[in-house]
Amino acid sequence: MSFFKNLLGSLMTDDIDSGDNFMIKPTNPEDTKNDNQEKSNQNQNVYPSLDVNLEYISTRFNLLINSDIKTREFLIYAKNKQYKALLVYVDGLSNNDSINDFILKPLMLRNKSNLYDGDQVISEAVANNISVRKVKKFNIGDYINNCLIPQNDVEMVNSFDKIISDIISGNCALFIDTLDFAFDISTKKFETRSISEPKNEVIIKGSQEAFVENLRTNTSMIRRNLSNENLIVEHLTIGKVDQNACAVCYLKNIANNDLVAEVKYRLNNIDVDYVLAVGELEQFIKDDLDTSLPEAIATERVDRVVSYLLQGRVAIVYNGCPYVLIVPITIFDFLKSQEDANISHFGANLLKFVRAVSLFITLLLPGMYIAITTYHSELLPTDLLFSIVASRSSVPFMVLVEILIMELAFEIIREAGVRVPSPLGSTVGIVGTLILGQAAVDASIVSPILVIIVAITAITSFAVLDFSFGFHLRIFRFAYTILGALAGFMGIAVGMFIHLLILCSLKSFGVPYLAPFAPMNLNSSSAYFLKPAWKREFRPDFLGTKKPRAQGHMSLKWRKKA
Amino acid sequence: MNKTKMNFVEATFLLLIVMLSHIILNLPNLIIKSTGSSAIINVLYISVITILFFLVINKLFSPFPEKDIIDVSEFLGGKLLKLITCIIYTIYLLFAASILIVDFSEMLRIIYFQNAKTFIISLIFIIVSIIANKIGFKNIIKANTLLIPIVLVTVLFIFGASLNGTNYQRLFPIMGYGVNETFVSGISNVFSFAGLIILYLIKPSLKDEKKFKKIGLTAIIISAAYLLFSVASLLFLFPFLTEGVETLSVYMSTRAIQFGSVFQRTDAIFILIWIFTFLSYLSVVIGYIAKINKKTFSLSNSSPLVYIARNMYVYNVTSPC
Repeated sequence: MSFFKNLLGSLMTDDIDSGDNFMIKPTNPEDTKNDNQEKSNQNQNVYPSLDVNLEYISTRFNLLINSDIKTREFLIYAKNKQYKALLVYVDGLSNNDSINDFILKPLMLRNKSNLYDGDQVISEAVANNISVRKVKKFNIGDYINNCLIPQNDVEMVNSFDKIISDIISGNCALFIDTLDFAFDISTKKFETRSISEPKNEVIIKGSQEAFVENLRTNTSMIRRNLSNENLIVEHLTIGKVDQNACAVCYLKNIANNDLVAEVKYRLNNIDVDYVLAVGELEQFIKDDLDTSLPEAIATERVDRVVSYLLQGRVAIVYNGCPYVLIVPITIFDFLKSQEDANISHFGANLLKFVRAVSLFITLLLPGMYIAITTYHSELLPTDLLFSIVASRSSVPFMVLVEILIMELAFEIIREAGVRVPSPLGSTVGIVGTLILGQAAVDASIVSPILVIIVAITAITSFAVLDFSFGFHLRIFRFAYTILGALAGFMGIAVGMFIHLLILCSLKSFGVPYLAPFAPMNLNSSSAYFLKPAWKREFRPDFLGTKKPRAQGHMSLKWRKKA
Repeated sequence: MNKTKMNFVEATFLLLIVMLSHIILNLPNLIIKSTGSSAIINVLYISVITILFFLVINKLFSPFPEKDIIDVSEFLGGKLLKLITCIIYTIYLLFAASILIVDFSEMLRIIYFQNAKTFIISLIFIIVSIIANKIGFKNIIKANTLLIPIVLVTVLFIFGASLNGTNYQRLFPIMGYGVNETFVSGISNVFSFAGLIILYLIKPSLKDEKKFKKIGLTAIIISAAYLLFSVASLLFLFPFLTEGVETLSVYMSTRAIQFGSVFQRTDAIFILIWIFTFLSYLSVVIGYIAKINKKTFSLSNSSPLVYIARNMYVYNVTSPC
């Protein structure tokens, strides 16, 4: 009896309450105690006392437990006098050589500059053998800034928030006793990935440079490829906990002022602790929040960003992400490749046509297949219809079930192929598609014609270039498949009509998603198909640029005979 | 920029969607039945009359800038006339659209959904139109501008593809059942352009009101051409239309088209396009019913009216069952 009692007792014991298990108590979303504490630390200015500053820095950076934040207390020589000073930097983000050679050495070691005890003469006048000198009143801060720190990028900052933010990004802060500000000195140097070829937007002709994770490297690449003094690179920070740097790039003489202001307004008004990448950032700044359609293009190609900037769009470069966001965009931008600009317009238009057809196939083919085989079989030639019926005769499932199994299987294979280490990816693909596909047909789980349908759908989905846009198509493909099964072409028509209305209702930073076709603008200079390179006279009118004309009316001036 | 304003293309296509929906359904069939081989002459005749009629209306409208028929009726006869006009318009739009949708749904039922009820098919159309109006009337107009070119191309395609089986001798006798049937009693076929009723509601929504005349004329000419091609393809293909065939007349032409070994028959593709047309048409009509009533009763939000219009449609559609 006691055995069963013990057994039941052990079974009924609540493990959660046992003392030896580690448990984390879930937080209450309404709890704002820590937020208030963080707020109280903000907006503090530098104190005139070095010891107080050190204490404040120690508290903010948790210096007792934080191992990579370095502080260095030393004595400065200035005007032959000594002042107490403190240097704060992050080990690994700042350049040690730069700190030693161009901050500590000039300040600590005795040299001509810091030993000089005379006055700074501003002007001197001699009249009746009397010399009148106008000397500058001595100010230790100005003196150190002007004479003792041989660095190109030095700022005098009195806000602790700004100082701390810059220290985290690789600068070092120099505090001096009696001064109520600190010198914010640029000493950034950290390991980054070197510039490499684009991995996901491969083109044959054209630039082979891709963005990296470092913001400054990315902006410098844009600057290098777009030689114009009107290129503006404005810096912002996003996030309250992770204050990540972000740059808004645009051509001042081309981009619409309202557009630039709107982009900056949205970026400056994101109340969030952290944003890790541009994909996440896009979701915070898009116009329509309930759509699976992307409203910005994320590209890793420098030349693509440059071409969009030249059109009058705005680029958002985000630190830590090798992709740059372009806004505003239209749906037709997802069917463009940078390759299009590098080949003749005949070839480019062929590719654009192929992509448009691929878009419709990948979106509609499974639904159309069900609709035709179930409701509209008169569309098919009799021989083909017999062939389909014969191939399906041994399959026990409805067409809808059959197609959903295959589509789901393909999505799983695709997801597995992307997530596994790259050497295994091809193996997953081969096993998934070839072996399983063949086995499924042999086992009469699916019909051979359906394997062809799913394969065509999959291949055409790769012709749609944008990864995010591809997701939208994948989601809606399932919807069309179900609609096709429910009501044939009528179901598909209903789905397409609502889909079209949704597309018509979308905007990307004030630009209609289907511009220039909806709203229809017959005078629009832009079209889906490309004109010859010498005839692309105008920038897209829907961008409202300051400089609508991109070329002279007669761009090939050399053809004009003198 | 006013978001609700329509440009020239949007306004023209809005008129076209209403007129073409009437034409697609059964008008070519009725015209051929009433006039015989002079159907083409009759189409040209009623088109000219419609244009003349439109020019008169345009002249009458010209002293009322940025005013639609509701505003004009209020100006002329006070609130009472405004109310009467609103009721007449609402009833006309409701009944015309209900009949059209029921007929089209019935045709779909006969062709594809023999086991379904017409009411259910009609209900799908109505629900989609409600959703469309919830997404926004402006978006319906935008979508319409993308759909209309496809609809227009289809009739040219049907006409071109059916050329193989045409017999131009069917144009004779040139006066068909007689001069009286062609020009006197045939004048009643002018109601093929009944969709022009929307024209008198769009004036305040135009970006450029000066183009009102151009919009009306363009819409009439395009729909006349559409009607002409529809009648011609039907007339040249079939010696006569069997009594009792009350299906889509243009659909009959599509069934006669042969594409060799690639497609057996393509009529389903045209049906797909016409479903778009009717969805867009019904959305526009529901939108306008809501707009008229909103204006007449000075309501701030037309959203509930969309649902009221839906209820009335459902009642209309179900009442014959």
